[in-house]
Amino acid sequence: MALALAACGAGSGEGLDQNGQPLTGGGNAPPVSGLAPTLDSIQTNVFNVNCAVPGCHGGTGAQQGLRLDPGFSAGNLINVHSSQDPNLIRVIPGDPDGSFLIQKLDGTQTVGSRMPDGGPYLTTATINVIRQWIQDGAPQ
Amino acid sequence: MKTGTVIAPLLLAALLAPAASLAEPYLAVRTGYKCMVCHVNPTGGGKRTEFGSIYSQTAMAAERLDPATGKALPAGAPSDAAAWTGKLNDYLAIGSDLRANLSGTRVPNSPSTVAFDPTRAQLYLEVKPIVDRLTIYLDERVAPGSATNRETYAMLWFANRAAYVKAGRMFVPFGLRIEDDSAFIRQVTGTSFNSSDDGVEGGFELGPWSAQVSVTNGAGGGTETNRGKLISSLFGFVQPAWRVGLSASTNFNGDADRSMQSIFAGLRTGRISWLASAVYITDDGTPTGRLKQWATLAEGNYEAAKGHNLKLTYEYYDPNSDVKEDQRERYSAVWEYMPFQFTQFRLGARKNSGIPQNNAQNATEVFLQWHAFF
Repeated sequence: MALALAACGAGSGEGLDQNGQPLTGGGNAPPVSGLAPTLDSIQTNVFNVNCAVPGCHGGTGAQQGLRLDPGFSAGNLINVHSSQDPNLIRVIPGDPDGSFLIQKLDGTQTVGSRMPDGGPYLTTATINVIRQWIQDGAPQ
Repeated sequence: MKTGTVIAPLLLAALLAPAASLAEPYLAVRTGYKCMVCHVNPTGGGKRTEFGSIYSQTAMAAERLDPATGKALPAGAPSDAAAWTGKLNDYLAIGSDLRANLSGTRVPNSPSTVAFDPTRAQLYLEVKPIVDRLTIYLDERVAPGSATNRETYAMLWFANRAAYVKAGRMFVPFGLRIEDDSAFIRQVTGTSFNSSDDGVEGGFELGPWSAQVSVTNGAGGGTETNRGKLISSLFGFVQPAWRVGLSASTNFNGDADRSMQSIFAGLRTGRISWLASAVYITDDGTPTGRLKQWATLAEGNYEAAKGHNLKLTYEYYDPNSDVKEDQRERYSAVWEYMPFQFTQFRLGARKNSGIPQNNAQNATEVFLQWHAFF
């Protein structure tokens, strides 16, 4: 059985982007140019694409109980303590630098791995938009 | 009844059982036992039972040390020596796992890293207000960071321990509960030791048959925001040298339903214990519509000598069956050495193979782990 499975092989990556999504044909690459510092926009352009992925922070058994599917994000982020370190708060309205979410995205976290796990990581410009949303008080 | 009169036959049974290396499904295959023989949780993992603890000390370790002197116990030493099991009295028992890691990672086009990883540790508390009937169980992760709860439940056995119900926070029953949370079959199903859930579970243990069904929030232990629930099931048939199992789960979330199916099997051939598992997952409501995924695992565990185990694993993962050339593989080789009771060393290497444009999917990892437990 192991030999049969081994015959499957890894993908060549032909026609795919870094995330393994098709380069053409309606892939779910985020329209970063349309990203705005609102929860709806971040949800659509960042969380849905990079985070709310099955096995990560989407659907059943989201890692660390942090489910980032539409409708879940605000309740699991804003003023919610991290399950990895309850001394940390995932999103502190008005304090992006103190928010664990930003630390995890820009790689300055003290617990766990930088997100998205294994990369590719978000661009600084994208993270700055999320920073701005938190700076604005993380309105829902 | 004196503790010694209980421990002695348990020790004898453990000594007569095949030698093994550590608490994982392959050990169950090697011994022919069900998970509940060695773990308080009938679906495996977490605190060991008194038998499981004695088994690990006597049958798994290369040798036993006298806890009072630190010297090796001679062959034929009294069977109840060096057998502290964490049992404080008939109603209370404790346990622990601690894993300290040194790991090296090489990612293409990035500097290599060598790091002492955050130490992971759990403490277990088992309270039995009514022996063999009612258990209150606590599994607390105390490191890294501040303490977080993994499992907390009350469990009631009835029908002469042929059936149980439990309620609280728990790992939902699904598929093979192997130790490696980064394995594809664990990672993509979200059924790792990092993801417990709140709800209820019922199970039957009838001869070679096992069946468990749970109903939980399906929010990974987070805040529930809808009426949908995760229903997960696990069925197994265990024979001394082989076993098969099936799992299925469905999580109803309105616009983001997930269903998972798993089939797994184990086989012992001489000194090798084999494990195989395949998982199929469908997700609705993703940005690209219905997402279908496959993950498989095949593993061989060779018991080279008492206290030594060589684990070779092959894994395959197709993250989207509608997308070609996105598949990933992982090869692992891990040597596990348990020189004496409560102590295991693990030296391993994992080679990831994925699409070439994603460096992280092609990382190579090596690690040395000290696993201390009781």
